[in-house]
Amino acid sequence: MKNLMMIGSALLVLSSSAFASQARLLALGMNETDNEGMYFIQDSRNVFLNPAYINLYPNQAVLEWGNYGQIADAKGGQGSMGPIATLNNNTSSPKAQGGVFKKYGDFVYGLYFGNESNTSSLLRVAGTSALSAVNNLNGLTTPATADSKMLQTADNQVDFFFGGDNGLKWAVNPTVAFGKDDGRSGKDSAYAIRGGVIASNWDAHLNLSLGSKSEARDTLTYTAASGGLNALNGITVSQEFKGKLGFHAGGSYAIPVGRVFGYVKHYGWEQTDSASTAAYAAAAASVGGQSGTVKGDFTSYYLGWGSDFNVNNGDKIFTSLTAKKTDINLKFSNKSEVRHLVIPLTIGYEAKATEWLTLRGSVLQNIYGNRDNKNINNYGATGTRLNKVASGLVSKIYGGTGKTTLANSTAVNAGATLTFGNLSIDGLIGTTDAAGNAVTSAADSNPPKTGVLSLSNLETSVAMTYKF
Amino acid sequence: MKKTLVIASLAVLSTSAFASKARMEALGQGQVSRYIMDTRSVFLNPAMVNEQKNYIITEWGNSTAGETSIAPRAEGGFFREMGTFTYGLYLGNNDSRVDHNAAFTAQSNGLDLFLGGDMGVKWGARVHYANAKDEATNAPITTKHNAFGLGLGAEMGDAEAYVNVDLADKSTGTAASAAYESKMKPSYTVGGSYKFAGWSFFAEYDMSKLNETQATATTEKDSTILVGAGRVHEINPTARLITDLQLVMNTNETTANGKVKNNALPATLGMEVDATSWLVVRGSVAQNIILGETKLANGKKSTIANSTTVNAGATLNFGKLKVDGMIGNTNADNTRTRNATTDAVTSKSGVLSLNNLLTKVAVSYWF
Repeated sequence: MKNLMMIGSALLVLSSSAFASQARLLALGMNETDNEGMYFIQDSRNVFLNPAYINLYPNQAVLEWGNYGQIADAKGGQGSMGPIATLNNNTSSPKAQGGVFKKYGDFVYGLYFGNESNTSSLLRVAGTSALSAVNNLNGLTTPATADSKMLQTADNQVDFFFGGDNGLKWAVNPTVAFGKDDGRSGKDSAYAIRGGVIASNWDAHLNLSLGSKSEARDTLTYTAASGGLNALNGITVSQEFKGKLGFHAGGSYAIPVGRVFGYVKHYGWEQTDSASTAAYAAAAASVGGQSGTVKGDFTSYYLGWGSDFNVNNGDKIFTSLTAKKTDINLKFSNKSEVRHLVIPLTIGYEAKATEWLTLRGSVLQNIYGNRDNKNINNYGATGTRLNKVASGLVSKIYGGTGKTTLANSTAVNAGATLTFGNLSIDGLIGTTDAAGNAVTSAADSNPPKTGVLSLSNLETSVAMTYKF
Repeated sequence: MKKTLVIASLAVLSTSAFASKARMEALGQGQVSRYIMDTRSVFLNPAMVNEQKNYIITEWGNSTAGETSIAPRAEGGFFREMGTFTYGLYLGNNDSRVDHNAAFTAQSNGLDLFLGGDMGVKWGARVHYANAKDEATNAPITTKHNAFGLGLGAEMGDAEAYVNVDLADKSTGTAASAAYESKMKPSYTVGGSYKFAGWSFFAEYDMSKLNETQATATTEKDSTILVGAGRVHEINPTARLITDLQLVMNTNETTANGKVKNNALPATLGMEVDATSWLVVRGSVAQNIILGETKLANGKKSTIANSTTVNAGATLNFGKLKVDGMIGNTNADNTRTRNATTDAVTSKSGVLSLNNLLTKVAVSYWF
């Protein structure tokens, strides 16, 4: 309390109505792999959902604090899950990114660094050779260390924005990211373009993935501690992930109360693993994997209704009911499938507690939640071919093998904005435990929070926004 | 309650003078900027003593020679105007442009003397000196280190130029042998800038050479060409946007690794905002665009991965006293974000911690 009072006692007090951060939307219940925005809540983060939003949020600089984003070498171990990889979109490991949007006459342009696609990272993790994923593994079931040779995920991404308002707000957003590592004959590239329009009572966007490719060639190391893989010590494996045309099309329409919205995301890809069938057969313990080329696809359907209600002169109540179905297929001989359906109801609030402090939060729960996944984490002669790292990552997001309802879906999130005139500092609150540690979970995308308002960790997943 | 009192009692005079490594790092400039005015600028161009003077600064940290993002080095000094001249004394600037092998005595107790004046042309000079000797630790072997350097600079209207020459930076003797030696050849940095249409265009060439003799003899040659443009755009009296684009071409040739080239084109977007009369908040995002690769001696190239970096910092203004620091450099459990191997700030976790309100703190007092 004292720390909060200390900040509050001195803050000058001009609040801005514009908000802009992943932290704000996460606090209000956003649950998207790429944190690209929400259809019914106004936030500048929505430019990554529909770039036409830059017309609503010109003249601002945004800095999102965090770590690097690339997943190149999953290290360490988590119980029986093998080496781990984490998508940097959650509350415990945000990714550094930021940019500037500026008005120029009738147009708005922007430059943004570091917003790599988490979905792309997920698919490249899934596309990694199963043998490469357990390079230098120390213990198969409870690995203490590993040095996975993952396919490089995208990094150093640059997003350009350009838009205008001719009665109809429009914008385009080409993105590019590429890298090279001759040391492992590695190359990766990703190109995409987003386009969108906003009319008076509807908006629409089409985001196209024009190319996504990652390849590498590694000589792998195994020791006697590598769970029976030491017969393969020194094997050279070439691997490639090649994306097919992908799209993310959607939009929203205003109705008398709130908006209805929806999207379809689809990405297809091919992954090639040069390790021979004999090599996989020689592995004394199954680590998944399959020689040759395997096709995969990711499809997500999203449909919902949401609304914000103004209460008490500027405060807001949010509510939404959505349905999201995600299907992932990886066509190994033992096909890996994700069938994941959730229908969450979300209720949120955002209140101007003082002129310098805005508090927000949400509670959400699945009205219906079900998964029917096949061959995600069941290793063995007739089990999954998914690599160990991908298995852990997919299990964390969509659950492991089996058909079940989704337990413990109730999640409460909260956040705050400190307003210093045109400068606002957004963040999440309540994401650290009483000992000051970030609440994380290796096995659950809804980590068990402990209900602590820590003033030591005043905010997490912090973002600074300045409007000029 | 202590923190409450500290903040609540802040007096509220902001000045345009800023001064610290923390500020430079928060704005994505490393140790010194080539276009943002800061007291750190005197280490690049000594003529900058004419621009910011009459202050004392202390940078909190350790007494060790090396400086990392995690473990800053203790240093500080004062600069004072005297008629048309300005002089300064700075302690603890133990920067060595070469990396002596860890077996050798590192530079310590560095002393820098500054003198500058304004005679139509603003000029400045810097003398750097450091000396150390240890007859006890490895007796009967004596280990020694000495360093001596000069810096000269001038500022004429929109143009400035500087040259910094390290004439000597030599360590002799290790625990293994008194005959071992690590000796830098005279090395220098020469550069300049010109302000045009609101932008500063700058160029710099930096070279160094190190010969080391231990069980085997090794050499290291390093050169960097830097060309860039930067702009500080004052949006309003209380906020500045910072933009720069730099082409950095580095060649490093060592006995062990051969010739390694690093070429990069980093772009930086930053902001510095007088959030209140007592608080300045700043931050930046930087990333290599188009170009960012390492070329090894065998011709193999690799992209410099994960170049996206967000830094942030703040200044607490207590009238003439300013407390600078970085923010967001500690984890939720109050441990510092660091890479265990390089000791650099890498694995940031996006936490605004009030327990560690500022890190890499510098305090300056202006009189």
